Amino acid sequence: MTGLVLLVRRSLAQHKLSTAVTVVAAALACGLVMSVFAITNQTREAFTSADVGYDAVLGARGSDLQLVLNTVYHLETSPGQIPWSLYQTVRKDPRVSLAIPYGVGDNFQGFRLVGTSEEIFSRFEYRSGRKFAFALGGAFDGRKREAVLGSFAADRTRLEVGDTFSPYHGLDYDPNAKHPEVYVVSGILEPTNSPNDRVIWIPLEGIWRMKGHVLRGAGEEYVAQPRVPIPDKHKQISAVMIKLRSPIGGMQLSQSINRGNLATFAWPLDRTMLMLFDKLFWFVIILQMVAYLVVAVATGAILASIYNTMNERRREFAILRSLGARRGTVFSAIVLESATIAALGGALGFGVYATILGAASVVIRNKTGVVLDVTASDPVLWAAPLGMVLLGAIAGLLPARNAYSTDVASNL
Amino acid sequence: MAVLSVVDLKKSYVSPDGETTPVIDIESFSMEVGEQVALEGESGSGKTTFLHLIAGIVKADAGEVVVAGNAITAMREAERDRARALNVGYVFQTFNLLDGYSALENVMLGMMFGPGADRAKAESLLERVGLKERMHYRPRQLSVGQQQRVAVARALANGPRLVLADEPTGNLDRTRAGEALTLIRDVCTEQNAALLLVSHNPAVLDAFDRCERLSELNHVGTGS
Repeated sequence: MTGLVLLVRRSLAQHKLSTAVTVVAAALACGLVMSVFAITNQTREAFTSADVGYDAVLGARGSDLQLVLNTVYHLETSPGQIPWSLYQTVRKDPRVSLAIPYGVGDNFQGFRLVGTSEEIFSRFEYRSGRKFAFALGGAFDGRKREAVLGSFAADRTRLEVGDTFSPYHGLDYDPNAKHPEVYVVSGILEPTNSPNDRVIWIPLEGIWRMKGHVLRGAGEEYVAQPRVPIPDKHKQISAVMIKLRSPIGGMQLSQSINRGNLATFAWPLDRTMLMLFDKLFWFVIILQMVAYLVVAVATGAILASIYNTMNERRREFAILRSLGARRGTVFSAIVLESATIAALGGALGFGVYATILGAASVVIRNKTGVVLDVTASDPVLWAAPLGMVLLGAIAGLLPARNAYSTDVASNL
Repeated sequence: MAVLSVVDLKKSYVSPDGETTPVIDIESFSMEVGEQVALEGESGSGKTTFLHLIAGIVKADAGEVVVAGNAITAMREAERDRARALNVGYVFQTFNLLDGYSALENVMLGMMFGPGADRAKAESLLERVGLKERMHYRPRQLSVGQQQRVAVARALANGPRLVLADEPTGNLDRTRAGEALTLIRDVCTEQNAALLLVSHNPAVLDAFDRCERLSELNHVGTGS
């Protein structure tokens, strides 16, 4: 084995340039495969995980997917409004353990303001057993114009506790759509590594009372007046985040609510998101095909780089054979050399993987709040390098056969 | 006691057009343990083929070669490789050192396929041939004479019972040839290895007590 290692080491050193190029090719291939699979798996896990703090979303009649994207992931626009009375009914339903109202319509620097109740901080668990924790300050007072910022939103807007800001109308930032109301930052949340990090939470009353907002809960238009209580019949919300007591309750509520024309009850949430990913499956397949193609090119590069050295190395093989090396030894040396190039590529592939995943992580977090974890374990992180080594060894078989059949006497 | 025994050894080559050309037909040849024999042979007389047959690099068509008790001609290729690695040292006319390896590594390669690499022994051999200070040099960084010494050290690295030297002084001037010959003979004597040295240089042949003419041993008379 020592002899084989020396042979491989010396050969790689003698062909530094071609070795470096093929190692880089293998690293790119390996890193690309790892990245494609890891990003796909992690985003799928993040978007389809049922552990988002609630089991169902009640919202306006329309697409389940739009409702879930809007409420759970704070993406897309709200499909519409539902009357406050529906929220009150659901809240009192014995099958519901927690119902939190959700109202949208404004933003600050592109980060959406979500109107909700104080229960979001006292009772809501964004993941099983984990409630929002404050890095600075505390919850808003539902009677005041106060806001609590998710960690990412706070970081990007540079708002601190005690700072003031005015919201902008709509979910996309438009400098001409500034509301006159001024909000004070009461608290900043600890990171949750979830889409909630991108949200600016304000009291639901604030959404209703924002200048220019019109309520149509009773069918007619109603504009809230300062210091005048809003009658319940005019109130509207975008959605209700619902925690169920049992799955049976979800099934029953789904059947009863979805049968009507008033609202949509999106349940279970993971099924809705899985449907989205299933629709995007072809795209994932294409990405994987591209990654496999790069692997094939890298494997070909390894084969070509070693094969091209065969003629100049015939004398070397003959000398080794004259010293007592068996045919199998030179064959093994070539296969080992090829596998070593692939292994070096596989090792460097982790750097490529970390770079790609790091960049993708920034983009995905900026756009969705979902955080990809570069250090998260994934079977592809060992399968891809091992596969690369195996392919490298296979690529070495053809030149190894040439080395194996080298005639000693005529090449000395 | 014979370290090398050759009996009725025959070898022919078949040309691409199918014509068979006999190269070796030697009835009998032997060497004793530690004996040093010079073999005179002109170019094309089959001397290299003869050495290859003894070393088991080439398979004989017929006859028997026994080296240090190993019936080379009866062995399969892998067994011949093993027997060569353990019992035979080879010094080539062009030295056949590997360019990408240091002098020390070249010598260690001579051990790796046989008894196993022994760095201390390799260093000791290089020191013995006067290359203590240059054992980490690559062949191209050494003079021709120094390369010759590395080749000698490598041939002796596996503690062979028989050293085959194919025109080892052919690429050296007269002075260096004399030094190289003395070195090869002395080192073989110290290691108790028999030496079969092929040359057509009369000065070299005269230095040996026993000198054989391949043209007299080989009944074919023409080589490859």
